[in-house]
Amino acid sequence: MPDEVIFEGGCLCGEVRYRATAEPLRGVICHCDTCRRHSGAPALAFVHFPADSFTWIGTMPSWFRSSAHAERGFCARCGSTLGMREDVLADRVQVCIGSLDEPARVRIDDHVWTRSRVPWFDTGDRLPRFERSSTAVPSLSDDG
Amino acid sequence: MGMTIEGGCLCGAVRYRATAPPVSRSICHCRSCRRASGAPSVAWSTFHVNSLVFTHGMPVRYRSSPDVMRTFCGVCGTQLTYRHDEDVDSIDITTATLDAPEQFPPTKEIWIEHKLPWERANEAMRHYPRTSTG
Repeated sequence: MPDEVIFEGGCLCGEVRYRATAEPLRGVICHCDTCRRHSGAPALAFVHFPADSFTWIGTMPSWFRSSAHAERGFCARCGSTLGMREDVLADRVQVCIGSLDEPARVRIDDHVWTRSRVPWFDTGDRLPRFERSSTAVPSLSDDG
Repeated sequence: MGMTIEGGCLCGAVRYRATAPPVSRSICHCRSCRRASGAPSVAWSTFHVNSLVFTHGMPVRYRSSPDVMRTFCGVCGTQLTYRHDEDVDSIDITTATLDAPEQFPPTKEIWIEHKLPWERANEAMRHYPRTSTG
């Protein structure tokens, strides 16, 4: 019997937890203004899990609508930045890599919104870079 | 002529103003900053506590370890500040919540011990395995 794939994560205080039972569909580092301001970090990174493999455990995140088509998840108790949901990517759950219990296990595929990158921050890798959205996923033209 | 540096959260419910430049600027790779921000690492600008005021709203406080207080916006969740009980004169602001973060490049990277393997340290900055003090 093959080993079961399990990724777990949650916020800093432990109030919000989640589990995914599939490999991520994709990993991405986003340099957009909204991700930067919301996380307080120079760039934010996400992994996408298939929606049917993903379960929130315990308290649900709070969601803040950051644009007409996107919401940002965070823990109401400790404020940890947890993820994002977009109508155009309803087949998946996007969680912030910093919330994973083992973030080093996931792979990053590309960088998006590099036109908004803060000039002094770079991760020094040779991954594909997109000035706006990645061609790997459907998207709307605006960031969010 | 006075200097004014402003910033705030994503939704605008919390705004702050600093009347003096930051005394230091760093990128932190520690696990707690990563968990709180969701990001690989966090940039902090350290201000003298007397030079920073909240001009609109107040952030929510969360004690992330016995001697550390972090704050965030209760409406949108943006991570805003960090204070260590032993460093009473300082308050760290997330550099990415400044309105002009490009003007405040970090000069050092701390907690390299916790850095994710796929994030490369910037060779132009000073590196510290843990904190840059003590």
